[in-house]
Amino acid sequence: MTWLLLGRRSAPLWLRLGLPISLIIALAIGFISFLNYYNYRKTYQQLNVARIMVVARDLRQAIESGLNVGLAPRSNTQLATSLAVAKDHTEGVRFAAIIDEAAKKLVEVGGAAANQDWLQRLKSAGEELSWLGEDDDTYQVGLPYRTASA
Amino acid sequence: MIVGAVVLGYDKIAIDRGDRHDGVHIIRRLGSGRCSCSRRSLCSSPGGSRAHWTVRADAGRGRVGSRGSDEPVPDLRLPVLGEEIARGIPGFIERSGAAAAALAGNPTEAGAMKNLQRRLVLLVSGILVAAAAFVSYRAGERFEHSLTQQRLGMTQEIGRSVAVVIEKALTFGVPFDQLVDTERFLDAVKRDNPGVDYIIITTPDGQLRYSTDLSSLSNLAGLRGSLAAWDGRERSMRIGRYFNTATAINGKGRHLGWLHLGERANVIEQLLRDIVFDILTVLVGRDAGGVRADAIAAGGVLRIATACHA
Repeated sequence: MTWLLLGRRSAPLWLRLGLPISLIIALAIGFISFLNYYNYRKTYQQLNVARIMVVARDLRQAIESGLNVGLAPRSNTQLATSLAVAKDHTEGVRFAAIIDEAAKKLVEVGGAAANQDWLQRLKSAGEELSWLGEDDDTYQVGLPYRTASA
Repeated sequence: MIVGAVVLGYDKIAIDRGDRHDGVHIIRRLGSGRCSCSRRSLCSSPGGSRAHWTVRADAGRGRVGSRGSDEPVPDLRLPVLGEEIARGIPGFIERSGAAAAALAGNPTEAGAMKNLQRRLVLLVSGILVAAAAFVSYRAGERFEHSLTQQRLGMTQEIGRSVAVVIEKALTFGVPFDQLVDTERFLDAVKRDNPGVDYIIITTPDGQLRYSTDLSSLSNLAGLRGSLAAWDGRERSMRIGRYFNTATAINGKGRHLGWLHLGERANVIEQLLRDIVFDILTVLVGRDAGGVRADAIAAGGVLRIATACHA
């Protein structure tokens, strides 16, 4: 680098100016590409969540409709079919599960990993309509269902 | 009171693989273009710039003073690392001061320097903006396809969800022409899914039966004509400014109609509009907060350029 900085013995001025300019432009383009990619990735994942959310809302509505007429999810024999249809018709879905307030699985289609943090999620859900989570293999969308009196 | 939850897990590997593939692809595609852009931009620097650089080179070699002043400008040698710095700094400061004094005594040369500086800044800014626009355009082209597919997937899910409800009503014996409160139901679905611009239910020959409010749509006559000619060979198709996704409605073992969902075709344009809206919000907020206008504007322009539509 010293030969670039030295006066008389140095590289020509066009090179001394051109190199930093090229470097700055390369850095800026790299930075822009990095931002572009992460912006794209974020949008892609948001769209994915929105797609899964449509299916999950339908399932929640089915559960709550049953609850409104006094049919507990455990006794609702249609739910297993609905979950199976949802899993088969929705691209990328690996499992669908209905859990109770103790995060115990009532109905499940596909295989969810054993150690999930669903109980904590349920407790901290409050008035939230959904949560987003993940384990080693899957991203997850969770929609709490409520009794009509709530 | 929460009594449980529905949890859906979807494939992490597929998503990561999908978008990583797109990322790698776009970087590969950019590779050739970016290089050629930089090379072209740099090589196409006009001869005038080169001439200026030559003047500057002369200035660096102490010949500036010989044009307008008898006193030669001292050598502007820059210090380098280690001992060179330790030895060089005092000398450098001294020489710089002398050079500045000599330049100040020669307004013509000082003006030339400023002129050169201005041109250099313009050149670099121009190349930067052009390169950023090029990179963003190429990335946008690639990403738009992928994001559109994702959006269409979501629309198809919504369509399937609505069609199931209608088909359930049909299985209870309600005639297709006499479904009650269908408009209100469709409006509720549209409200729940802000990306959807219209929901229309037609007969198999394209006659409109039920729909959400269509008054805000552009070219409604053209849309009606396209729906009338819908043959169902493709699930999704672009009609004017919208992507139309159709789901078949079946009842009693026969095809009774189509459920059409439309959303704006240009994902990128919408995202850009969102970004511009964000910037405008910040600019409006700036007046209240007293933030500097040029900084905000620069940030906004940078965000538009870097957001690459996606």
